[in-house]
Amino acid sequence: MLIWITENLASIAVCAVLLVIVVLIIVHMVKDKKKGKTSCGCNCAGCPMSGDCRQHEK
Amino acid sequence: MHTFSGAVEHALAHIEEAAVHDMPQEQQRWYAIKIFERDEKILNQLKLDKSVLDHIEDDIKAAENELDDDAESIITNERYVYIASIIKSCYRKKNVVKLSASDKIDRVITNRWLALPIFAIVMFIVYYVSVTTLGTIVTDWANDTLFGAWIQPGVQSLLENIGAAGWVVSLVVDGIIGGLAAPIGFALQMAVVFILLAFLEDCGYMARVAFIMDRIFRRFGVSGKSFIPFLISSGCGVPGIMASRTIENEKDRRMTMMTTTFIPCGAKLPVIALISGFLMGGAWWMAPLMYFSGIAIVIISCIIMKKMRIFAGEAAPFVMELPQYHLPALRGVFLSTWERVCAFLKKAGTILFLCCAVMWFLGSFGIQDGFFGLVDTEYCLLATIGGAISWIFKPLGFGTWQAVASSLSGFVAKEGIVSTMGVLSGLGSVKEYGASMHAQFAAFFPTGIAAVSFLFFNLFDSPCLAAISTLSRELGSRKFFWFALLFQNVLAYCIALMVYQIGGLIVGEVAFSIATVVAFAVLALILYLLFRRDPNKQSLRLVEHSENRMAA
Repeated sequence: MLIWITENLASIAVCAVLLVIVVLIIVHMVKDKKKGKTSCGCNCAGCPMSGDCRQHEK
Repeated sequence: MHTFSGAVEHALAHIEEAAVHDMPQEQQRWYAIKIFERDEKILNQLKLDKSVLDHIEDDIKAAENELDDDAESIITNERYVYIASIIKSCYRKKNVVKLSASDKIDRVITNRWLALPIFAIVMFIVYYVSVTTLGTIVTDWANDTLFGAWIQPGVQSLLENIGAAGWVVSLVVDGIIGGLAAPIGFALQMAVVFILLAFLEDCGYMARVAFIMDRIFRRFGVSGKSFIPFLISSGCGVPGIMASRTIENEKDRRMTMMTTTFIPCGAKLPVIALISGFLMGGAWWMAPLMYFSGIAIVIISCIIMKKMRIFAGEAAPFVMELPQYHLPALRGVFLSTWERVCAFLKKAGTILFLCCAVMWFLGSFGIQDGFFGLVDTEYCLLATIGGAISWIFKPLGFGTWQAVASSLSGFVAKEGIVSTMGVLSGLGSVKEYGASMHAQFAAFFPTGIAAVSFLFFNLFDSPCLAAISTLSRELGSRKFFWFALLFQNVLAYCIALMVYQIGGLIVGEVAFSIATVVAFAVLALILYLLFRRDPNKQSLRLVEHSENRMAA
């Protein structure tokens, strides 16, 4: 097992970095979704009335 | 009492005589004006006979034809004339004779006959500059030098030097960087478009465009208020759908939301640039053509929908203040462009990143010789899924599994179409980046007209997930939401079918077949839906007539 890990250490490290990036992206997207932000940058969260609007949904 | 113009007074006199002559004298004019405006509440209250209504309608139409405007706008205009006459008698302007610079420009820009050709020329210039000249230079640099010569070879040699496995190198270089390179390569080209559009918005021209389009839209039963969401949708469909909230009439609002995403948004620009720039040999006219096609499809959809009972009714009037022309603030133009480009890059770093990784997985793994793992391209999961449904798209000319898979990824984010094509063409492994890119992409489409059909389908089908979820929330009705999705996808399919079959027949790239007959049948059906008599106007009259008879 240890030999396999040693042989594939570079691949494991790259995969781990990619996995972390993917998890961060998903967490970020879930947070944005909860805030009412969209991926386009123009959304409810950017509106001056966002604090008052759709209170019942918050 | 203020006197309106001759044609209006003539119609009002007829209306007074035909419909309200038995009312008190002081009320007759007010009711006549309301009838002239086709005010639904007043018409319901008066319960006029069908023959009287027909007679009145002839008078109103005669006035509309003479003044070349709709009745409601004619009365609004008359009120402004009256207001101006009062102001003239009690307020003295310093430069009463001189027209301001804005007024002089508006005499040409908003001229009845010149307005639309000028708008078309402006849009052609915007896309000619951004797609063919300045935009091409920056995009070619990004594709050939930044990604093709620096990033991809650099990352590849780094990963190989540290001893990463071949599939890991392929995932990072071909899958993620190769996938992201395609849409990001267009980011600079998009920035040029955004700068030019921000300039037009800030100098006051776009407000004039709303005014120009209001006249056209109202002829097709859509409120001029709908043009603002359409204008915003050219940036992004999400705020475009949300901007429909300003439309009070629920039917108009729903119709606007369903059609506003037909206007190509910023995310669709890379797809247009890909097809026109690479596959059509740098056809700069393709981008403005797509925008005008979008406007035409919005108008066609609105005419068809307005004849449906669920959307029937008169369009609401549209009043807006036109700002003075001014030189845009550089800071404003820069901020607007920066915000849009940042939003695009943010999307590339999040949704497109995931999209590329998933597409690489689906495009590299599958079942071959009874085992699941890394397989040859023709055995991958994406080929299996795309191949299973590719028969649906064969009549549209792009029945290859790569093109179908790219279209499917467009439902997540429209830029995903380009990134998926980037992943599937295996750009990371080729050395001569630019030239190979053309050949690889072109391999997905058997003919040029198939690529155009692919573009039409992907521009006018249902929008990305973010816009779909906004549409669902704003429509507030499951029934309307599913109707919207079905309408958008069926319409996009029909348009692509007609483009490929009929267009292909004309240019000699497609042979006559059953699909061509279907395309002509679809064209005939659309023409029938466009030009048939509005059944709602007829039924409304009949209801009123039967009500009158029952009352009698």
